[in-house]
Amino acid sequence: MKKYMGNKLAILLFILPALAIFITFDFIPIIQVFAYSFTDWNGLTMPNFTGLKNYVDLFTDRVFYTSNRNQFIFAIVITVYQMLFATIFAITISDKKMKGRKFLRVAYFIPVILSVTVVCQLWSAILSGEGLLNKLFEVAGSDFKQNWLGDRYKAIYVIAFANAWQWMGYQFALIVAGIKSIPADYYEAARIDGCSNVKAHMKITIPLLAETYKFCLIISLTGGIKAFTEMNILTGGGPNKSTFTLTYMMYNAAFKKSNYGYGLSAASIMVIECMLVMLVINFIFRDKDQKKEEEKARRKRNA
Amino acid sequence: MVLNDVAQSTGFLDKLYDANKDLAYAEDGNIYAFPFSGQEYVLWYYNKALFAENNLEIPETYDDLLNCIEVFKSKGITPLALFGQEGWNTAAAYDVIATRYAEGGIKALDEGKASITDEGYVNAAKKMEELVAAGLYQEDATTTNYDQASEKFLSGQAAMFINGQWYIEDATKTLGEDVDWMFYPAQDAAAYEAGKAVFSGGGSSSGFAVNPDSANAELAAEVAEFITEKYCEAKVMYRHNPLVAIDTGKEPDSEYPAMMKKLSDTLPSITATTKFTWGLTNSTFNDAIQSESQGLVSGQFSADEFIQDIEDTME
Repeated sequence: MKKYMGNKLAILLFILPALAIFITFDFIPIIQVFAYSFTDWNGLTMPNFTGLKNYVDLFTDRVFYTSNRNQFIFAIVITVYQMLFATIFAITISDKKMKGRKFLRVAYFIPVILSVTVVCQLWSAILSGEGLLNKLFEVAGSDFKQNWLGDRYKAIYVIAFANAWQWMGYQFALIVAGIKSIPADYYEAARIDGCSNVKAHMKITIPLLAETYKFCLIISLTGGIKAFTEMNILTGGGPNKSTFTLTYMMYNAAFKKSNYGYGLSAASIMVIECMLVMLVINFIFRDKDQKKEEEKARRKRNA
Repeated sequence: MVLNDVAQSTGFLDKLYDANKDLAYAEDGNIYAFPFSGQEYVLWYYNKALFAENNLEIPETYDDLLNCIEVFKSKGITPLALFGQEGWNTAAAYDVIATRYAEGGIKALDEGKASITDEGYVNAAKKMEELVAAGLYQEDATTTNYDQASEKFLSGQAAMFINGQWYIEDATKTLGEDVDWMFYPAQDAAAYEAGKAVFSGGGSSSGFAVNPDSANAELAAEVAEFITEKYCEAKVMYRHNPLVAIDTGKEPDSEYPAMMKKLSDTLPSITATTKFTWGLTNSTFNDAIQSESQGLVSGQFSADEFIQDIEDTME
């Protein structure tokens, strides 16, 4: 291993394929997104440089603020729902004494393998005006009939719930894998010290899952910011763009108005938001050792 | 590819109806696609049986319509089923009201010949807001798709329906004699009569086109013309729709449905049409009218917001 790590040519050869793919399919397109966002490109003809016009238009567009608000709500709802329930379910089924744990493990994961379209059709049938949920209220004699997907303010919560329900199983699988990697000795020692089950999980399981949680947070928060499919299928972005996100703005500008430049300015803001979220999460979850080193360096500087 | 010569040599121009010439020619005077559709119309369908059962006359004015809404709602019937998930349907719902106040409807707005702040358009928005508040459309109209709305109408759960004339065939097949279309209601009897000559809808210049860089572009152009002709023939013969771009010389395989006959009889008196959203040329306005009319239909956006937002967008 040492031999290879010391050989710079070998290192280059090993990382080259992945690096080439990353540069071709990720890095260059992202740079292009930023570059075209300063133009009036319509997707067909040569783009003309328009400076900050698209950004000025974007920041004065009411839909931009609605989209950001929706993304924020969406990201928070799915993050809280998925991490909370995934943790509870994962801890529950990791107890080997529990009956039916194999069945539950599969059941929680099933929505993940379903197509988003199928899941959205399912929720659409449940949440539509004459859908199952309203019918249940009707049968129960309640007049709590709601326009779940058509409400200007509430629809985004409902859509976020549909997404959270589907993808909770993914985070559940990650947390289960994380729990499995924790040595059983820790729990045994805790039990000998008279620690309750709940306390053991609070003091051992959750702190040791920090890296898993970091990954879960990144995928759910950035997933929230990039949300599109659910609103496209369930509400079509309506009523009157009230369930738009930046991705939807990009799609709408590019494919409905042939205004790729404007759409890509929305996409650029979305990329920046995703990167900011990742930076903040990485900062929050930085290693203790790293923190200590930073502290040492600070002291040295001050000395 | 410019298709002028092929249109001439294949005889397409000889068959093209005069009324549809503007659909074939672009602004620069060239033909870039062989259009297959003729002028099309937004029709306001209604269930005759439901109106008769409830002793209601066809509404001619908005007051009549409000009365119908009240009666139908009291019986648990949706007055008008809209498939508002599709923006064009809500835009058409606004247009059938707007054309009663301003003849140009959404077409004039699209072409910049009128402004959304003009009195007629403002009155139309306010009227639509009033009708929405009264319950003209189902509460979840903006999340209803075509299948759901059509099912409501065809099953008798809804009394009225707004769609293009292409729906005549399907509606007749299910409802038979119980379905018909009405002239759009207006603010008063005089406006109702005058409005009979103005329809929402219109033609669009979509059709079969050819990529000039194709290996056999000339041959492809002839094939495109052939497909257009056969497409029009099929619409006339098997879909019982005579509203095609060219005179096919074909007869339908069975009689035209009564609603189509009524429309054919009405055609000579139609003096103005607007456009379907796919025929609009200003994509910014097109996007705005679809989403803003959807907001109006939802009942959660006011007429003032509708006017303001479209005005801001167009600026």
